[in-house]
Amino acid sequence: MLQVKNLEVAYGGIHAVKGIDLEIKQGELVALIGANGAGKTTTLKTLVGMVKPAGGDIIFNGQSIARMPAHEHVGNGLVMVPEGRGIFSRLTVEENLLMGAYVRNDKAAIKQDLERVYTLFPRLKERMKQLAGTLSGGEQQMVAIGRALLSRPKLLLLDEPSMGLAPIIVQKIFEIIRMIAAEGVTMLLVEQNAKLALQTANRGYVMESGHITLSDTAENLLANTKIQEAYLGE
Amino acid sequence: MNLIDIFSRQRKTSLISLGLMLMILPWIISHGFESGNSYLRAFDMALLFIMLSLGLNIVVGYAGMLDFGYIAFYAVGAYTYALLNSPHLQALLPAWMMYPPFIVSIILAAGIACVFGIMLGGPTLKLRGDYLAIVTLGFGQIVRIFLTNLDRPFNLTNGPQGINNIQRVHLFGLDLGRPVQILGITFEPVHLYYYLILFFCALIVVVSLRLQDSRIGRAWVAIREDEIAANAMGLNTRNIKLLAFAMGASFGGISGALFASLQGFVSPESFIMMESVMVLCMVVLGGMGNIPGVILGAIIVSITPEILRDVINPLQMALAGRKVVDPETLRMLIFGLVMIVIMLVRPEGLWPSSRRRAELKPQTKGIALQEKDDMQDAERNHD
Repeated sequence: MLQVKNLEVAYGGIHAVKGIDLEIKQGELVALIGANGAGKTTTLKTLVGMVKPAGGDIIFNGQSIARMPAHEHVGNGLVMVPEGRGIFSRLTVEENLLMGAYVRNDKAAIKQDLERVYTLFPRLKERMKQLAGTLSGGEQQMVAIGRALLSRPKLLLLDEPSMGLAPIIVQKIFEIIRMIAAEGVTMLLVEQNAKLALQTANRGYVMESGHITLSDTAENLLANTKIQEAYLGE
Repeated sequence: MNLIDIFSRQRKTSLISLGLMLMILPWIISHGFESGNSYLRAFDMALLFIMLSLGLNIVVGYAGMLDFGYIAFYAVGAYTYALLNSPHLQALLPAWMMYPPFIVSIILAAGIACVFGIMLGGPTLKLRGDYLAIVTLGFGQIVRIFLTNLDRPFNLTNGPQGINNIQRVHLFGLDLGRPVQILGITFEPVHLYYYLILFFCALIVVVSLRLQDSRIGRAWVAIREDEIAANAMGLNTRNIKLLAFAMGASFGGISGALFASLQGFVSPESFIMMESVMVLCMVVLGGMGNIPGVILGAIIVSITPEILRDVINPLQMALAGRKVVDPETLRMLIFGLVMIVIMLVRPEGLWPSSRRRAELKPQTKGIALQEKDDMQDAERNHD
C-alpha cells in the first residue's frame, strides 16, 4: 500500500531523515518507534506533504505522492492525526468531527460514519455539543482520531497518540487503536512508548537519528535484547 | 444565529417589522428632527460602516487575521467608482469605459478591491498576529500615500485635492440626485440614497450570514484555531485564507463605491489610518465573529459622534457659557475611555458569539472535573 524509498528530509542544512525505506501492506498496523529527535514526526509530516522531501520517493497505491500538496492527501486516503492532537478547541465536538469530512460530499455516508464514530466513542456522543477545548486530554485524542476516521482513511497515520496523557488513559486510547485496526483500517503508529506500540502492532521499525536501524515483526522486536535495553527499560 | 433560525416563524415576523421600521426610518428622521437630513446622512454612513465592519469581520472575526489597513479597500472601491463616474479621466479613457451602468461600477469596485485583497493576502500568508497587523498597517498607508501622490507622472488620482463631480447614481431610469414622485409621494435624494445603501447593506448581511454557516465559514474558524490540523484535514489553507482577504476586501469595495456615489467627491483624507482603527473598533466592540454584534458595534461607533456633537455644544454653552472643548476632541476622549472600560469589563464585546464568549471565559472548573471523570472511567473499564 505504502512504499517509502530512500527518503531524505532536510531542514536547511540539517538532515533529519537520512534515506529510509518503509513498507506498509494493506490491513497492517505498523509501529515506528525511536527516541526524541530520531526523525519520526518528520517522516510522518513528509508522508502527508507538510514537509517536502530532499530526496527519495513515496509511493502510495502505485502513485508517487512525494510532491503532492498537503491538503490533497486527505482526499487520496492518507490521513494524519497530528502530534498534540490539534483539535479545534472552539468548535464543538461534532463540528470538529465534521471537519474531518471536509473533503467529502456524500452527506448520507458522512452521517453514517459519524454514527460509527459515536459508537466507537460513546463518550463523544454525550459531549457532541460541547466545545472541544473543554474536553479532557483523553477525550480530545478521541476527537482527533474520530475526526481522522471521518475522512475515510485508507492509511491512518497516528503521531504520538499517548503524548501528554495519564497512563491509564493511554491504555484506553490503545484499546481504541486495536478496535480501529480490527475494523480493517491500515495504520502507521509513531510512538515513544515503544512497549505499548509494539504490543499493539504487527510489525515495527526502529528509527535512530534519521536512519531505520531495525525492522522486524513486533514480537521479535519485543524479544530483542538490544531493543529491550534501549527502549523498553528492561 | 443561523438562517434556519432567521426564517423560522417567530423570526419572520420580527424580521418583517424590522424591515418596515428601516423603510419608514428616513421619514421619521427627516420630518421629526430639525436637522433631520443631516441625521439621515449619518445613518447612511452608519450603513456603509456596517458593510465595512462585516467585511473586516470575515478577515478578523472568522479567519482570525488582524488587519489594520482595511480602509484601503474602501478607498480602492471609492476611487474606482469615482474615476469611472467623473469627468476626471475622460481625456484618457475611451468613451465606452466612462459612466458605466451603476451595477457595473459596483461590481468593478468590488472586483478591483478583491484584487487588492489578494495582493495584500498573497505575500502575507505566512504571517500572523502582530506581524500581520504591522504589514496590513503599512499596506493601508501605502494605498493612501499613492492616492495622495499619483497626480504625477500623469494625473490618475488628482492628488490631495481628490476627485470631484462624481455623477449621481442613475438606476432604472431614475436620477437619484433629484426628488422623485412615486404614487404622489415625493422622495428626496437623501431618502433615495438611504434606500439604495440599505439594499446593499441587507445584501451584505445576508451574504455574511450564509458564509458563516457554510463549509467555508467553518473552514475559516478551523484555520484560526489550528492551521496545521486544518491542513491535515484536507483544507487548502492558502486558498481559504486568500478567500477571506478577497471577500473582506470586496465588501469594503462595495461600501467604498457607495460612499463615492453618496458624497459626489473623494479625497485621500477619508481613508486615513484612524478610519481603519474605527472599523476595527466596531468589530471588537460589537463582538468579533458575531454578525448582530458587529452591526451593533458599527451603529454605536458611527452614530455616537453625531449625537455627541449635538449634545456637547449646547451642554457646554449651558454649563460654562462658552465652548470649553471642541466636540471632536472630546469625542475621541470619551471614545477612548469607553473602549478601555469595555475591554476591561467585557472583552468579548457587547454581543459576542457563543464561541467567542467561551474562549474568553473558559470553564476551567469543568475541565478539571472531566479529567477526573475520565480517569475513573478508565479505571472502571480496567477492573
